[in-house]
Amino acid sequence: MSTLKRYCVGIADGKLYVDKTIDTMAALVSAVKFTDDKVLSSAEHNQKLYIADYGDIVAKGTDGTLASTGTVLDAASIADWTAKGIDKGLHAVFIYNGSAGVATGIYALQTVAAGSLTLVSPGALADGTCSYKIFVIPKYYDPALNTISFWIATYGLVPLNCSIIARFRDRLVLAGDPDSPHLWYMSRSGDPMDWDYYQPDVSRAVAGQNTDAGAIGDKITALIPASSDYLIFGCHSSIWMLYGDPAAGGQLNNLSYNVNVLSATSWCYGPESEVVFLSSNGLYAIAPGSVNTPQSITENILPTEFQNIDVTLNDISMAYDAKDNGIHIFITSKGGFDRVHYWFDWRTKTFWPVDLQSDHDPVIAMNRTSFVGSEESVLIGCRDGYIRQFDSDEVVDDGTAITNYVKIGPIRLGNGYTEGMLAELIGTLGTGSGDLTWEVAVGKTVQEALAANPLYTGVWASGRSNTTRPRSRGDALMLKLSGSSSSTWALEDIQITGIGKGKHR
Amino acid sequence: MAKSPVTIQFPFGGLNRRYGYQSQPPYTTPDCLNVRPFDSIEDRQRGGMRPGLKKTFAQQIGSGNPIRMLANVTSTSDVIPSWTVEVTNASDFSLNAVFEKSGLNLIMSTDPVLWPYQPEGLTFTQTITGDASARNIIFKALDGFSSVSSISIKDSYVTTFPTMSAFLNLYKLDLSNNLLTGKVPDLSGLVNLEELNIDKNNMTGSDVAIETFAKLKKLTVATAGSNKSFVWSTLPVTLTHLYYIDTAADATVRDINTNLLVNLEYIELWNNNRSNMTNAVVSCKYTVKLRGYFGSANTQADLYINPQPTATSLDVSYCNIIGLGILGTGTTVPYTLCRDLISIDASHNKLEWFNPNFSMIYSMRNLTNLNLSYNVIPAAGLQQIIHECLQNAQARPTSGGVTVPTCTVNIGYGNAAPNAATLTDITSLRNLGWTVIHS
Repeated sequence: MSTLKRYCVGIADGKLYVDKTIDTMAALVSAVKFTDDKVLSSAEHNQKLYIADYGDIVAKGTDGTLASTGTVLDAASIADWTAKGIDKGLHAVFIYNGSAGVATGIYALQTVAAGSLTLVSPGALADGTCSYKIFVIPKYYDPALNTISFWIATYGLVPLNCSIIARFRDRLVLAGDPDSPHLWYMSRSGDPMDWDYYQPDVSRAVAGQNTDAGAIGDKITALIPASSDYLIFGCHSSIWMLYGDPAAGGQLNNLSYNVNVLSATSWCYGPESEVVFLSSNGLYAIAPGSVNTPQSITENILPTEFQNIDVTLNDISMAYDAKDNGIHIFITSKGGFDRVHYWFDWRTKTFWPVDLQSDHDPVIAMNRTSFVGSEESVLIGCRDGYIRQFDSDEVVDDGTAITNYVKIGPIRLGNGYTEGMLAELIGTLGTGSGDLTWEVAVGKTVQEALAANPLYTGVWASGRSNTTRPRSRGDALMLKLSGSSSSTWALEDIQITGIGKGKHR
Repeated sequence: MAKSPVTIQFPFGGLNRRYGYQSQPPYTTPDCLNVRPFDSIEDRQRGGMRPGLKKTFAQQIGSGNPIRMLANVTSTSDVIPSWTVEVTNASDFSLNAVFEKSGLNLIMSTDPVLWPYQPEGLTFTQTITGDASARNIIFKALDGFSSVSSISIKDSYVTTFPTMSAFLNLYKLDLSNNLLTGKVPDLSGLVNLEELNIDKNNMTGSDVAIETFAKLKKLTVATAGSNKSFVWSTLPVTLTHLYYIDTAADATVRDINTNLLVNLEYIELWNNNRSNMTNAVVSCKYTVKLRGYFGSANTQADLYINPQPTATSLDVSYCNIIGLGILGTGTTVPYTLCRDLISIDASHNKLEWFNPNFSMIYSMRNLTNLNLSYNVIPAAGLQQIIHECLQNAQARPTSGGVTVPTCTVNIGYGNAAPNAATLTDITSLRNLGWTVIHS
């Protein structure tokens, strides 16, 4: 008998939560912790979830001394290790440049005392001198064991302090080390524990950068696997694509020297495997295939709304919603300021602003592909620690009324030389629709009409409304429709009748 | 505007702020919020309010702090209901017994309080006997022994080697990081065993020749501080990967005859306190790692390596050696012998010489890393080394005047300062794209 389960995993406040019990997120009891102030990336590989945990290096130096057969580390430059904020559940120590017998490696910490650090046995194997770095170590979650472990390689070293991770051709790919932001690292194919780059076979671990010959590579901002054939490197000011396996004749080509990808989470797949991403210059898409270049989606629609979004001030996340056929683009201020998100309707290729109350603003989003059909949805990890999802049966945002409106127009009452007047107005809403408040505003220009106070207002209910006569004179008419706070609505159409009124006054 | 009714629909073109206000494109809107072209009631394209939010889970996680990661992870449980695991005194909750069948993992336990996770439908028993220090795992099967292909019981404080004889189709056995002592028992029944890992235990050897395992291809015997004085009399010719690592504090000589391992592709022999290299590694096809093989107490003067022509990586750092050479090749080394070597690390030794007349360097046309730092090579020796490197570079194909591929040569730290002739050659090497690090 075989069972197949797909779990939802979340991290908040440094703890990992998982829905081992259906509809219940419970914290995993573990001494292992995660960074609690940064968005984390993860990649699944062979029934384990590898998490690129990262953070500041809390201590480093070249004056390390090892004692007790390489298990006790001290340094003259550090008077009190406990004052460094070292947490043995979060950090590990990298020992390198050691004297004879000292084994270079990454070691978990057994204890943190004022006078020294004790490494988990067997430690660095020999006494002597060494350099050291105390850093946030990446981890992996094993759902079968329900355990979190430090990601320590069996061969070689897992790259330090990488914030971006992806799976590509059975390899785990890491990038985003602030000390070497242009480098990417790939584990051995099929073995995330093997980071030995000096093996002779084509499955070996590989590292590299994205650049034309003779130049330093661009800073990597996103790793986007596009099928097993291509890996897209989103960079600070360019985009590169790796075709095939880097250890077996793979090729690296530039897709754009101008378009970038903002962050590790500012992209998603479209329904036909397009890669849709947010750049400094708006929203772009790359069609599947080896020869396609980024195409702007927003240039002719919203030229400024998505430009120059500061990723140091905002958490950006995107997810394709198969149920409603569109892409969520969430831009959440890290400082808690109000920001507009967007819904990109894939069927009409159109943009629709979304506003959520501050507590509901998404820090991270995920397309949940559960094996239970009703659970299919985009999940958003919110600022207040709740995981939420959009649901067509919900008419409020988890108890909060949804402010919603659309301005229809401009409707030209005149012709440029003469003004006109709105004579009659009829609205038809779908059966079962909630009420819709209409407002009529006019102006001599469209811009005036947009900013003008309404001259007339009224409410339409489900079905065809009575004819109203909001006699409004001007050149341009804007009609604003607003939904109520407790119901959703559907608009069938609007009938208006206007009459000419002569020259401008 | 004529007095005639006009039908207006929802602006399905969405928000558009590209053009002038007077030129707002048809069917678009200059301003909207929380609406969509498809309504939430019947999902018709007629316009409506967007769907609302609901909690997916009732629990507020992270004590109300922002959620920093969301992910899916898939797990397969391949349940083997016919197995019974008997654990004596499993008082330590960290005890994990992982049974792998066709690469799938299972945790077996009857006590979800002590053990982290219990898959559904698994039938087994757990008994607790003996004193507090005894932790033994005994396998009992109702049937299905022969269906098991892989067993992993690691990190489990197991003190007694389990009875394994009935696992006729077992190809992988991982008993690493336990408390096993004594000698490996007769496992001759495991005729299909290909991988054996008894790393991180306290075993002392084996009464049976490892050749008993006719199909054994991969052997991990020991790592630092464990399995001291482990001796396995002979190794099977089928072995392709050998990890035999030890840093025992004593100076026990542990000779490992790998002469006959003609299929060996990868070998790591670290810190074994070997006193000489008689019958040393001669047949490794790809990677040779002998780091610290001799230990700091070694008085051995010279080390001769005879890798197969396909060898690509050689690590002899920390071996406390004075000379490094290719065994049995006299003063000249056939190009074919070293043609695939891409990395040599002979740093942190007491090297005074590097192969008679250094001609081996000239032959290594694929070399990209040569580390001879932290040695005591005299100036004359460095001159010969760099000169050989230059001849090597000049013999390689070039592109735009730069050799392809280039190599990094590190002769710094401890060695003599380069003389004028060496510096001239270094300049020539750098002009060909090579990197040279010197004191």
